[in-house]
Formats: sequence, C-alpha cells, structure tokens
Amino acid sequence: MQPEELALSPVRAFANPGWFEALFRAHYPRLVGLLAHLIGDRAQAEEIAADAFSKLARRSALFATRGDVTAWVYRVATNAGLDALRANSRRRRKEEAAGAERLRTAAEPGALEEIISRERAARVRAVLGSLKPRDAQLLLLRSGGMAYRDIAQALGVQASSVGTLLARAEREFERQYRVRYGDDL
Amino acid sequence: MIECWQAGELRAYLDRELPAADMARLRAHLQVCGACAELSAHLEQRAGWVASRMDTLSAPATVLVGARPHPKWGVRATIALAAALVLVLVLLPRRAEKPVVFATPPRAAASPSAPAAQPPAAVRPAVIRRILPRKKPAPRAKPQLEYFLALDDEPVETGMVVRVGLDNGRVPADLIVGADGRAHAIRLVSSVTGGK
Repeated sequence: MQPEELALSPVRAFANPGWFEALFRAHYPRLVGLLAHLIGDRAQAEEIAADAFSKLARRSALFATRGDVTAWVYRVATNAGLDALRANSRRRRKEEAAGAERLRTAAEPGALEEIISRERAARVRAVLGSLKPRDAQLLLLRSGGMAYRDIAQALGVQASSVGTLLARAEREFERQYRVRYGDDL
Repeated sequence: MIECWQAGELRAYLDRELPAADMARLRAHLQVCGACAELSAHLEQRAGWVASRMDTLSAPATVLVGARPHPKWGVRATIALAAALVLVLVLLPRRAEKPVVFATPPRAAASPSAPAAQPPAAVRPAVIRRILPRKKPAPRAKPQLEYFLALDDEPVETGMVVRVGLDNGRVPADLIVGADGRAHAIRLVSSVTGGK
C-alpha cells in the first residue's frame, strides 16, 4: 500500500493529543539508527528521519489508525534512505577511495582493518540499493531487531507473511551479493 | 500422513516468531521429516550468511574524507563561539571592581616641582576633570554600534541593555541581559569617548 492510498483512509483524529510526541519518542531513535546503518551517515539519517516526522505532522489527520501512522513513517523514511543510498553511491565511492588511499599512506595502526570494514559495508549497501525497496526494507528492519508484527505494520503486510517475504529477500540478497562479490565477506 | 511446512513458516520458526502452538508442532515435525529439516537447515545457513553481512553496517560510521560539510555544523560553530564569548565575559573582572577611567591624566605630571611624597591615591579622576579649564569641547565621536550577536538560540523577548567594558575596561560592549540574569546577546561599541 502506498502513502497516497493510506492518505485516503477514513479521517479520524487521534484521541490523545500527545500522540505525535509519544510516537516520535518511541520511534525516532530507532529510525535514525536504522537509517544510519543503511546510508552510513548519521547526520543525514537524522535529517531523513526528521523529515519523515515533519511530513507526518502535516498530514496526520488523514490517517485512520495509529498503526497506519507508524507504518507510514517507517516506509517513507526507509524509502528516502534507499533513495539517498543510491544518490550517494557515486560520491561515496570517490570519498571512500580517497579515504582508503589516505589510510594506506598514513600507515596508522588499524588502518587495514578500517579499510576492510568500510569496503564490507559498502558492498552490503550496494547490494541493498540494487534490491526491490521492500526487500531492502525488510532486511534492514529485521537486521535492526524488529519483531515480525512490527515489520508487518511498517510494510503494510500480514504478519503471517513476513517469514515468506523475509526468506525471499534473503535469497535475493545472497544471489545479488554472490553475483557481484562471490563468497567474499 | 506428514504435512510439511512452508519455507516462510520455517523461516519464522528460526526467528521464534510462530505462535507457541505452531512452534511446538513444527519442532516435533522436524524430528521426523528429513525434507523439512534439510530446508530448515538451508534457510538457517542463509539467514546467518545474510546477517553476517548486514552486521557490517553496524560498525560505527567513520568520517569520510572530503564529505560535504553538514549544515548543522554552522549552528554548532555559532554555539561554540557564543559559549566562548560567555566564558570570556565571566572571566573578565567586573566593572565595579575596576571602573573605566575617562578623565585625562592628573596635573601632577605637568608640575614636576610638586612634592613626590604626595600620595597618588588622593587624586580622583572625576574631581580633576571638573577643575580642568573648559576648552571648546571636542566633538564627541558618535558611537559606532554593531549588530548584536546572539549568544544562544533562544529569541530575546525582554531584556535590559547593559554596557560593560571588556579587556580591563578598554573595549566597551553592550549586553542584553534577560530576566534570568543571563546574557543573551552582545555587540561591541567602537569609537566611544564617554560612557553613560
């Protein structure tokens, strides 16, 4: 279900006037952590998460239930994160190449581990960026420790189908990763 | 007849996300069904493989060389500058302890024959200023006022402007002091020949 469809849900204002703050407190830190893992830039992750909540605040009256709202925020934010991941890819490659070169020449302790760690994360991000958005979102949310019930809510699917979708997403991730990088970690 | 389970259910089982009754039934089924046990092992292996790669994203993000400056750094730099200014103001001597002297030097310097034993403390700048011959007063330079620099992010609603002397009273400046007693903004006042 797309945000535009959610926006067409029956109008019903939430009874608790502090619902937005409660929602923000409950989900903002988690969302920022999730996005920071995805795009590797905490400041940008904070911007995207804040933007998602800002959009929500402007159109909250259009949502039917609290579940719709939570799902909408996660979906909008992770979609924006995936867009940022793709937009950043070229810039990131240049920066990481420059950073790796600097680390090599600096010959500091732990420089090699730093290079390897960056390279591994860059590969995972590249594969996530090549997946279908829902598959990438699913892997990301599950990797963040989210329960199936919450994942289902965030993605607008049945909780009973999360296992099936997750198995497919993992299969596709593995396939794409092996095509690009073989069995390397 | 053995009823096998779907891959999605096996995947949920691995995450302990099935209802309790199904967890028990599937556990029992895996004991007797080789196909499901094999599929479950395969799914578990793949899940671990994917998780090990996803975990690489959990490493703390490092500062990228040449990364674009984040707009929030401008705000942070302003806050840091304001904090430094406040620190300077706090550490400076108070005006009451060392007042700004605007009078000319004592006349004793113009009469070298005066007894040297006269204590200099007896010379009060304010009194000397009054007995000076009143020449044509030099035009008072109009204070050149600068914009106030906010010392924090909070808007100044009410406050009192207090003139202080920085650098041992040599550099006059205006502070906007709020009702909480804290300075909220500062501006330097250059070319001032007299204080109010």
